[in-house]
Amino acid sequence: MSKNIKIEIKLYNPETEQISWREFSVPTSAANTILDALDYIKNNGYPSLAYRSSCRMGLCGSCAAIVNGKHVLMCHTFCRDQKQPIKIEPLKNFPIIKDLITDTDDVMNKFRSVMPYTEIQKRHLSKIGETVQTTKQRKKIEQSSQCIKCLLCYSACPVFGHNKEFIGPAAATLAYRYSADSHDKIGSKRIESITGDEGIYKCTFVGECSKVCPKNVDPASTLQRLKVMGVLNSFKKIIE
Amino acid sequence: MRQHDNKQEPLWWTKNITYVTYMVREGSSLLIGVYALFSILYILLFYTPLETLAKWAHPAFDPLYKVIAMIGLAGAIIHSITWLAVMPTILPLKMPKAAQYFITLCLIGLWLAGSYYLSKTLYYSCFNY
Amino acid sequence: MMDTIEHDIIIVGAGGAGMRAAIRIAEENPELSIGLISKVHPVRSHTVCAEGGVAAAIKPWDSEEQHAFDTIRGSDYLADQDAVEIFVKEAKDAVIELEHWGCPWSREEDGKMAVRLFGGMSVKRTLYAADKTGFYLMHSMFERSLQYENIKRYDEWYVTKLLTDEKGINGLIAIEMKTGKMAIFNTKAVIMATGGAGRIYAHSTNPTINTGDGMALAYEAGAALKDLEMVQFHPTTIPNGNLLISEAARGEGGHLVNKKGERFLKDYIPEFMEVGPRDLITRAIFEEFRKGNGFEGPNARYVELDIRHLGEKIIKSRLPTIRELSMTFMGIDPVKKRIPVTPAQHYFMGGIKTDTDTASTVPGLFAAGETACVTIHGANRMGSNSLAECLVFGARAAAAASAYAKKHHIRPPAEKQIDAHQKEISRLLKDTGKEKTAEITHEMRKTMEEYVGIVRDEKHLQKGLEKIKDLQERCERIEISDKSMVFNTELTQLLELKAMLTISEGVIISAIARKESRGSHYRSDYTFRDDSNFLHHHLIHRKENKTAISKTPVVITKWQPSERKY
Repeated sequence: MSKNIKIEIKLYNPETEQISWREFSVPTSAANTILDALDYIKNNGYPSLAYRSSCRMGLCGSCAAIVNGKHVLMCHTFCRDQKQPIKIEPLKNFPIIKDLITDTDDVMNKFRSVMPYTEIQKRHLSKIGETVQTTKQRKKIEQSSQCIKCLLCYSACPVFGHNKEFIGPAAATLAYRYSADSHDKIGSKRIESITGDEGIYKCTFVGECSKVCPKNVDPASTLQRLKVMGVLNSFKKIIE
Repeated sequence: MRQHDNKQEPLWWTKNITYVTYMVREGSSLLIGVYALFSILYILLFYTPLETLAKWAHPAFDPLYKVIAMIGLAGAIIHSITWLAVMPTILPLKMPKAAQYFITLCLIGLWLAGSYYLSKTLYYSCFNY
Repeated sequence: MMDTIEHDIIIVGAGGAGMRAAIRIAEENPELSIGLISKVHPVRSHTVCAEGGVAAAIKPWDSEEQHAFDTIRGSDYLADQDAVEIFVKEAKDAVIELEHWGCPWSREEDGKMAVRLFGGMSVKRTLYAADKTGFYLMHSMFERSLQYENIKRYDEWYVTKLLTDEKGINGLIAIEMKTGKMAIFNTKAVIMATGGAGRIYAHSTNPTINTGDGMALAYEAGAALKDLEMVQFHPTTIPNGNLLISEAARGEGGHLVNKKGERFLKDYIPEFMEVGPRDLITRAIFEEFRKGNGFEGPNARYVELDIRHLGEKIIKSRLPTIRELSMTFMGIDPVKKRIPVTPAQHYFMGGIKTDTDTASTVPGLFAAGETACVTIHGANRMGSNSLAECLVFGARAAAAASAYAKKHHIRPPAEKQIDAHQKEISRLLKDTGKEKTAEITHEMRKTMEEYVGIVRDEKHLQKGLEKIKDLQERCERIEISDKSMVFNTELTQLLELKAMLTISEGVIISAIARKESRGSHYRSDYTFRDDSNFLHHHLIHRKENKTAISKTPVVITKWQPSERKY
């Protein structure tokens, strides 16, 4: 039942520092994802192809890439739904290390700056025991806690593309997720940490981050909410 | 052996419809800016504000001002509509396209009604003056 | 010349157990420097795939005693009971701690943490966060770890060798994938938290990264591997790609039905039905296939899981991932139709032999998580005990390794060892030959699936061993086409393949030695459990460049082995 499809991949060779497009022909069936096709290419004739993959079920965020101009997770994108030739590119706005692999370390380090934890403390005594969180309180963080840190939103964000210092969608969402958590004890300190020069106000609300998000986290609306929280927080400071 | 600097292309904003509408949205604010600057100058030079408002609808009014006002109006309309169109995307719900369009239309309706009300109460009182 | 990096403690693997260990060391010993090495970014670890939940006896209707008994009975009495007692006690604190860190557990109406029923557990005990418990857990821990300055992360560094001298571990060698540079890490203690080796099977729920590197590295460094024959097959995975359909679906009340539309488990485990232990359900499904009661699909034979009667609301709120997976990969909405499911490899009960303080047989080498074998899972792991194991033994490894690191000094590794290893790696890059990594990997997986699968017998096992040995030999004639060291996935895949072959061999040798059926290890030529001859663990270790096998007794405290009834 398999039929051959054409796939074009944007390859980067770190030795020659050259970018090239290369075409492959891959036998696929209706059940095959783009990631399956890459596995096929790697195992049959082009073993040096470099790409990341891990869980194959859309939870780890390794296989983010641009397929036919769309930002997707390759393990969740089926060959049957794509127009041929299927063009696969690495994420934008990140330096390319090799083929489809980009260097995401700088952005991963942004997560540190938004204080994504409930408190700064040594160790909890379990004597405090279980705390109560109502279903309503949990609902507040339901959506923003779904982020898998695949960084597709950074690739889609032109503000980040223009200015690599910008805090960006996922990190801001993480800040919101902990600020909205009923366990949070850091509060306004975190809001201050994201409202600096390269903070949330740099967001010009393009809205593409929410469109590409594979987990419907909606960083765009989170950023707008954070802007309001930031303004309220500065009023509060003035009053104090 | 080096990483490839994956720079943003100059024409990044042509790559998809969201980017294009974003650029149009941002660009339309320039038109409003042109109108605003021009009006301020015009008013400072020739008139008091209420007089300008009352007179500009008059057929004999300065045609240059009318053209600039039209540019400003066009900018305002584009800017408002594009903004209203992104509003449904920030609701924390994933909804079908049709629902999004519906919300946008409702917002545009609200905006038109609001404008009508304002012009009725504010601008007409000026005309009468 | 290679760079040298120094840390008091190095943790290899940044998944659940590794991250837990790192946080615990950072909290309690801020003066110790920690190197956290992982071949993928921490949030890409396999822990994020865990769906069901974490078992801990925190509810008033539950007790540690009961949790311990369920675990030991589930293990078919191969669990070390002293370890289980520690485990059930410390699991309770671990989950509460996670709650304070902001892990969004699902809640009851009154705001208390919710629990659900899981296979083989006699009461509702499993805490959960929708059906993405591992995901939430991993991200909560990763995010918390960001506040500690003394945790230095080395993401996407591939460890190629553990360095040892006569006193034990003194360092390791790793490749930074991004630049292709190799570096030496000097250290006092190493914690292995590298996960399982599920990828030795063709059909596995594991991600592409679970290749048993950690077990193989420890084995090469002289550590013993324990109970490798105990490989768990999960009864319910999607035929397309073997993605996991969590046991939570059955815990919430799902039914398994065969081609005739019967809930066939009534013939096998009538009392527990769908919430029985995994080994028994897997074998029941296998038996149905044999009887011809399975459906025939394009990828595999399957039975069907029915959760329609739970209603749309419960499915959407408690089992969203399952619904998403079956809609994406099978085109089936479980609200309206039954989900096809088939068994596949899921978990390694065996691993690096450790004591209850997680110390392995090599001084300074500790292990925790799936890669270790303490043993609390024995011959069959209870669902939702594995995340709890990562939390409990990750923390215990932290305590043990810190104490060890404080008592010892850094010993620079021997130049000779480093040079030899460097030569070995460059030889791999230069080797010529006709063999292909992908082909050998494929054959290994097929062999393991066919000869060392759910049901085993002497003849097949011997044949499998022969084939694996043959593959090991062919492995020496692989040519790598990519000569660059920058993100050379061809090289890492070859290293992974070598690790997998080592583990495969260990699995088969232990399986041959265990001439009985116990838990997940089912032999059609010895269908009964034989406590008089086999109530012991198998240890695999290297002896004069050959694989040797030995035995060690099971620790029994309160619960005498008896017939395992469900």
